[in-house]
Amino acid sequence: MRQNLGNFLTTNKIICSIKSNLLMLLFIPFFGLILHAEDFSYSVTTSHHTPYIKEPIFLTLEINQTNPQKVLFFNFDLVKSPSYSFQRVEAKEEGKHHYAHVKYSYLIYPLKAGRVEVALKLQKRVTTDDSIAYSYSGDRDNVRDLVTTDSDISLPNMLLEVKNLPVKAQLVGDFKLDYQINSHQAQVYQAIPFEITITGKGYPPLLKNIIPKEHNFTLFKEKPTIKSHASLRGTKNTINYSMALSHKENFQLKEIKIDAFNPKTKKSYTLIVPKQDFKIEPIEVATLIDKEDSPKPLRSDFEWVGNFFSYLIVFIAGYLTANLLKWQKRSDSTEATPLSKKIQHSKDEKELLTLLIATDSQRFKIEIEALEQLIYNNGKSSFKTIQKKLLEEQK
Amino acid sequence: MNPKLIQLKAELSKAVIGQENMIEALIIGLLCEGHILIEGVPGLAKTTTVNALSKALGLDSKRIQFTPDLLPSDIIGAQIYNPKEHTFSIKQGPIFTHLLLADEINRAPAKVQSALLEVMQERQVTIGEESFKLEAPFLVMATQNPIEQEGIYALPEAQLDRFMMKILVKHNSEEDELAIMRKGALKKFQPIETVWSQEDLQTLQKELDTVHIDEAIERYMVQLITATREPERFGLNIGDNIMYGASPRASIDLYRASRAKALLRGHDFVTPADIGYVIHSILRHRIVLSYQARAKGVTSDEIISQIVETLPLP
Repeated sequence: MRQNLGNFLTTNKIICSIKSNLLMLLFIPFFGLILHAEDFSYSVTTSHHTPYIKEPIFLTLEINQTNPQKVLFFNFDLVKSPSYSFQRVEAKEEGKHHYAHVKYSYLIYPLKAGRVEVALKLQKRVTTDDSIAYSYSGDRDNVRDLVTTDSDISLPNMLLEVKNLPVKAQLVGDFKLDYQINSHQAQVYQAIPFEITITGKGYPPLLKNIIPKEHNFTLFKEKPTIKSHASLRGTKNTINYSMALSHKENFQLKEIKIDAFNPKTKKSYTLIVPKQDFKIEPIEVATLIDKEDSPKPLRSDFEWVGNFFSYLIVFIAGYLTANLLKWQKRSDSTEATPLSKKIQHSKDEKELLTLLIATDSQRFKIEIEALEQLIYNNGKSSFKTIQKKLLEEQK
Repeated sequence: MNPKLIQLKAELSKAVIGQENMIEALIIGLLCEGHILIEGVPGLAKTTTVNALSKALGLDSKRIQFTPDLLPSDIIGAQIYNPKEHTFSIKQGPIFTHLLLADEINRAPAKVQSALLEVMQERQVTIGEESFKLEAPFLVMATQNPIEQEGIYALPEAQLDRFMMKILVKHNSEEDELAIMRKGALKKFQPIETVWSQEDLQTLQKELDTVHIDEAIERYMVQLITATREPERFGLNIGDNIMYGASPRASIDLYRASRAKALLRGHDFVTPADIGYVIHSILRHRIVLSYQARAKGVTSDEIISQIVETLPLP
């Protein structure tokens, strides 16, 4: 099928439904697209195709699965190139297995004039319900990969005819500039904070040298802070340039002019920071420097004494705690009556039996047997004999 | 002593020299259907004893080495997917045995310990949607390193409570060591023969029920357990050393183990000495020591000894 949609369209929507065994050929001159695919239909939408340099173009790709016999997944992205920059602003995966519905949205900024080709890469991944079930049966420690059959879908490049900016411009988009200087007066070499903020919608307004290189004061500058948010309505930017100026005498910051072009209105404009005069109060440079090589401290520092005593207290507390337990254990053990004394103080066979059971049943097995015989079966050995034998063993 | 028990002990002595405590604890565990926790350093014939016991009894035995990366499915088994037939089949784990040696149980994280201990309690395994009853007898002998060693996950008190006895295995005496050295070096250990059948074990388990316990002895047992919870009631000044006393499961295990010990000693009634023989093993892992006690180096064995020494014999 060959269809010419014409160059006048700003939005092109092409829906192709391609059955599994049907090879269909599409030729869309606007993009120069020729598609070869199966099992799904798709649509490509773009905002326009003849942008200015750094003017945003919106690209949307929507895919709908048409063959529910399979389980499909898709990967889509643009190929990187120095001719353009891009950002994915949306990737929605809706629908269910067998009925995949995927939508990708991109924001593209062409960076050079003339014919620019934006390369698209689409990958189709086919799997089955069983493979999905198998991959789910794994766990954290036993990962089971999803097995898919991947195939690259060949998409022709998207062609852009990029126009040069009608005027020389540093910024492209709709921006405004604010600046802030707290004081126009300072002492010699005192830093004067100076801040420029550029906000607006368009290509991120990052400038290498916002203040002209030729100046007679000392310039301190930080890396600019960038806040950019890309959406289907463009890129919103807030860029903050923080600087400080310093000099030994009165000086002037010349007018700062930033040329800009708004592709929407096709008008150029200039962002301006008017010239600024700074008054510097002279002071004796000598007062800024210590007169002595090693001046004495303003007050005596006895902090080390406090530190020393705190360490000492902590050490003593730890030492005492550790040793108190040892001392207590030692006193406990010294208080404990030796076994021989306990045996000697046993009044009858039951008391002695209790003592032996409590001490070590295995060690006094024979004596326990004898005492049991004595208590329950009127055994032959007497209490005194057993006690005597035990005392002898203890020696 | 019952001739069958004498025969079993004699058979085991062919392969294991010394370690009477451990052997006796295993037999008590078998008779009472209780599990045994053994604490001790490696190389003290733990695996040899379990293997010898399983051979002597004609039972199946398996060993699991617990490691930090072990998973519950490594113990109980798992459902394996068969991509050809699109079906799941069940692969049973090493838990399906009679005697299981769980080596260094405290090297594995809590989820694995829980998986094992749940099976020990329920004697049933659930894999996927299917439940399997474990064949009797089922005895777990778990070993653990002393907790002072690094790289271990201490067993929580609730899980320790499921072990009937905790045995401390020590090195053999010099005489035993000499015998082991000679027999080991000269490969003179005799093969173990099956001397018991499962029916013999069942007969002995039934015989255990006939061992009489006097009510006074029963009350003495309860007093011993209560003393671990409320020592002051019995005039013991050890309350500061105990955070939690023994559970009711300890009373049940003490009752069963004392009867088994009496049977092993050839008695048909339980005496206080039978309780004395087993009480340390039954209670030492169930008494939770307070911080003060641990700082002072007091052990649960010392506390048990104090309790036994203080309570009058019936």
